[in-house]
Amino acid sequence: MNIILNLLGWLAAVISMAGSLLIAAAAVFVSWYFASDSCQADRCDRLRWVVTAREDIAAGQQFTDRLINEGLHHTTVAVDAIAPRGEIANQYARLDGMASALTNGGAPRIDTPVIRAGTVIERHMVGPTVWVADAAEAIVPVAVDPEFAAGVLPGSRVVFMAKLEKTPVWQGVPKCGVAAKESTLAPQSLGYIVVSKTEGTDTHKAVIAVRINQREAASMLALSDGVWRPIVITPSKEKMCIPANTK
Amino acid sequence: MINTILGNIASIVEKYFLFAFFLPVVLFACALAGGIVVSIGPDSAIAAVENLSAARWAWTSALIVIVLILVAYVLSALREAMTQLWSGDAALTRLILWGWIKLGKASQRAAYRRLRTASSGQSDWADVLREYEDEVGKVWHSAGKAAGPWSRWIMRIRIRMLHPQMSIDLVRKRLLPIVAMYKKFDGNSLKREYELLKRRLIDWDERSNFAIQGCAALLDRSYGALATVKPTRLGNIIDSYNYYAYTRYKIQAELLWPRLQHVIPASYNTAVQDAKVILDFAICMCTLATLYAVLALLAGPWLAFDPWLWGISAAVALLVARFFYGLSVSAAMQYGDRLRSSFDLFRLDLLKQLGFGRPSKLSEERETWQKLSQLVVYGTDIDLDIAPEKTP
Repeated sequence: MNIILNLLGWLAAVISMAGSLLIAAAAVFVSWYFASDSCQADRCDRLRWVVTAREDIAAGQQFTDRLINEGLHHTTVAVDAIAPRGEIANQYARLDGMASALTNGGAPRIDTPVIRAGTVIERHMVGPTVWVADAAEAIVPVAVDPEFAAGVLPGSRVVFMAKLEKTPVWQGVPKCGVAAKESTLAPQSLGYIVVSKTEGTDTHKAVIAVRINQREAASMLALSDGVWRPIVITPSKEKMCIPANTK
Repeated sequence: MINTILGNIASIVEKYFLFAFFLPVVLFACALAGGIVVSIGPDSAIAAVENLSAARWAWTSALIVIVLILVAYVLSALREAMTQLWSGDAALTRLILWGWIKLGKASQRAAYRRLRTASSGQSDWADVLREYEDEVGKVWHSAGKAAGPWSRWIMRIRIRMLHPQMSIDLVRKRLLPIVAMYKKFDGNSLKREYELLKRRLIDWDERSNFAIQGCAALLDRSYGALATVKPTRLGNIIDSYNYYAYTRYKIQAELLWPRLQHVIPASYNTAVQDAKVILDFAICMCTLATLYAVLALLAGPWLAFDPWLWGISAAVALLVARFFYGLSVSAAMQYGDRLRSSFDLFRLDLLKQLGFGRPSKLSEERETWQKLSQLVVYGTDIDLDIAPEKTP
């Protein structure tokens, strides 16, 4: 009788031990599960980056922050916009990074397409991108309104204005006034250089590819979403500026 | 009121508070800050600090110091709870970790029994030596022939083949041919070999006795009673020094220790407190390191989703906790030694201070302490002779 009671006692102890381990493991798992979920796109008050990958990225892959360069180093990121491997060379990805990281570094660069587990990946095809050998530069597609894209030719410089919000992205263009007087920007640094233009499958959308560098990358956050109205800037030897009251 | 506030401020700079609680809290805060800096990136952290204005920086620093002191105070209030936690005595751990506590108790009981068996044994080598001396003594002069070098060499080999790890019976068996040599040859010609074997057996006897005494001392310093065995080593060591005064003098140590502290001279009290500082520092560090591991695993991913960073942080924190647990075990032994000696040295002074006369016999003293303990613990209606006050 005593032996049976003793054995039952030990059985209860083993169940208790397993239970306590299970509770601890479950607590850790639940915490990591929800933390992973909270870091997906459009959450955590994070900003978006458009970046290019050095290698092809397969759909369903997820990035680890370790593989992002200084700009988003140590920042947990989620990624989407992945095409199947091999379909298009050199894919781009859209990453969500912390705002503080964006202000401290340049455009993030993914060296290896390893993606962290647990992130939901959406297919987000905007257009092909071409990796530029210089790590500081990349060519990024921007969806534009075909109505205004007629005058856009490879080699021209453009800025973009939101079709609905009328909010231009005046990258590289100094405003008139004190800033304009003090501006030392060379004319050739204004706007984005158009690399190519392709008609999209959607008749209401064309895609133009522009060359960006790290300095300009912050403005590309907005350009990765929506359809934009391109404004061609004609380079000249005179300093260009836009009126200060223009938004 | 003002005195209380001043007293509290003065206690901040006390060595005990500073080293046992404030230092661990500062180290914990540094580790937390380090984890956060690594997770958000050094650049972001530096930028955040640089963006602070001088005034805000000063306020933030002052606030951090105040928070650290408050947390250290809370920890000092939780000292007993932390000790109970690592002793396996806390009610919460008994509930949540019941299975582990049962396992720990079973394991500690087994260790206790092993030590008790080892310490209650006695050396058999003395008996073997006595038998050897008797047997050889009987036949020392029975043969007139002196042993040659070959016979002596053989005998030496036989002696050297004996070693203390052998069972007593095997040694006895192997001694038979050696004794037989004394029957064959004159004892005087094998005198050196006789002394060699005798010295060996004496050495083994001494070694064995030392080992038994060592086990007895270790049992006394490591465990209380079998009935009150705790699931952890620390708990048992604390139990052992609380049990010491009771087994020797029938003193309820935990109850009478605060009273004894008043009669201990300041210099000796400092030595006791020093040992306590190390013990509480180690327990506090162990608790905070474990807390860090828990935070790294549960809260870490919310800061930065990096399994490697938080996994390694938690593993390192657990290793640190294990190290400080080991340190607390050794510190508890030292503290226990000081407490034991305090009872040995100053218990009669306490008896005097309590108003009882100095007993003439140890048995009398035990009886007095037992009655006093009954009075203190249960409020038993007892009668004790109170020493008359000496008139100057």
